[in-house]
Amino acid sequence: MPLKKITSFFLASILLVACNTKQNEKETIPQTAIEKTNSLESEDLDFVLPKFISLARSFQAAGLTYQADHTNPIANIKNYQLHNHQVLNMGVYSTDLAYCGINDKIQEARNYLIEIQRLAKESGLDAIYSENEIIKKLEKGLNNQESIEDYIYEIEDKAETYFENNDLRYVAIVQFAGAWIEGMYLGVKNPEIRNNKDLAITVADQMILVETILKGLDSYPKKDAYLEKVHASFEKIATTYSNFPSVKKLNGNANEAPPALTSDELNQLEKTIVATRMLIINPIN
Amino acid sequence: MKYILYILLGIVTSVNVAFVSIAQNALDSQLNQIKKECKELIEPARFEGSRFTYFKPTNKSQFKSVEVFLILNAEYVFALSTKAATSPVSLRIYDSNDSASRTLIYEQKKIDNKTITLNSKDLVDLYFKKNPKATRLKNLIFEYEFAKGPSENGGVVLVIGSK
Repeated sequence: MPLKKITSFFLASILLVACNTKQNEKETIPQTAIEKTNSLESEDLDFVLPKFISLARSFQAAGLTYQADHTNPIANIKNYQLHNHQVLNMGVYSTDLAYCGINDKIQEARNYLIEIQRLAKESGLDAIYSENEIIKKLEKGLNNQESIEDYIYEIEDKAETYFENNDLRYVAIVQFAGAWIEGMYLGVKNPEIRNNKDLAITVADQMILVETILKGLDSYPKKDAYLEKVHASFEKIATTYSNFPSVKKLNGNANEAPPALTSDELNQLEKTIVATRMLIINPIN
Repeated sequence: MKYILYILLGIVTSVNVAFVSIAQNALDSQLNQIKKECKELIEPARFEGSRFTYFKPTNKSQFKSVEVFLILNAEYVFALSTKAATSPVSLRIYDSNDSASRTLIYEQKKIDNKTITLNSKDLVDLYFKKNPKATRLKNLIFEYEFAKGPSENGGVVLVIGSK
């Protein structure tokens, strides 16, 4: 019957036209109806996430020295079975990669890159890393400090573009949370922190990013019980810090003098950072 | 008759969705191209990040802001492009998001269909004159004012580099 043929044709057209032209997200990534429908209009207050390697470099410039046993052991990867664990620890390992890279620990950097690739694959983000291409580039740069740093910047650039073009910024923020906590852990656990004023200032300076992380975790679609715990842990860091007398003395403008954290305040901050980091790198314990 | 009306409604809806999707993809494509140009403009500075700000003009001005963290003790460079904006954009750079206490560091009105570059050295000089309590530049708020205009999606590109 002509009417039936016409109807079938139009129904098929509707289905075809309704398909999104962007790359389909894998099932492991929570669907983000909110992110997509708002993609034509940005938030009233948005932000640019710093690069993980820049976080590491800022600590290095303040005198942070390499401590081999301070990074997240690669063996912990077996604990990261769920998507949120994987994304957070992609961030943790990204800071470890940057930390090793800028300290000329090239083999260690390479090992962390391999684990990041593995986590990316398991969490449906393997498009960011094209396996052989990355390892080959890292091997070529093996004896050249500057090219290792350039290469790490390139990886982060590629990740940023992928997240933006695929409406996955909410994933980028969770990854950043993992990267930030690892950087802060490396900072507060450094043996020099209580004698090195610059290092303590850098720790205080990077606290400005906690509010951004909390906003990002707040807007994460399908937050599970684990991510709620992580959120609460970051909130504790923020609250502990904002209640320090040395912080309360100031007016909160990051461009004015930073707080001079006392030894006791650094101890308290260290406890909250260590606890949050432990929650992230050992999620099943 | 009802059957045909439902089909027509479905067609109109799906065609509308398709046009919106095509328009979004075209805008994203344009913004990505502009981002590439901005990255070339800030060279030899190292690329530190970028942000697209999407907007749709209405019958009154609207404001959107982007917070930038200057983590490194380095000179930063910024490239900002309004080539994909669908109404004139004015830029104000503040030192804080607290509207009660913030200092206006820099302003440029009606940046129309072009790309501008700025660097943190110049912003520091301006800032220290206006805020004697400031000792450094670690945090900036780029505020865009979008003039009223025809309701057509547009975007602004901000690219950041460090030297």
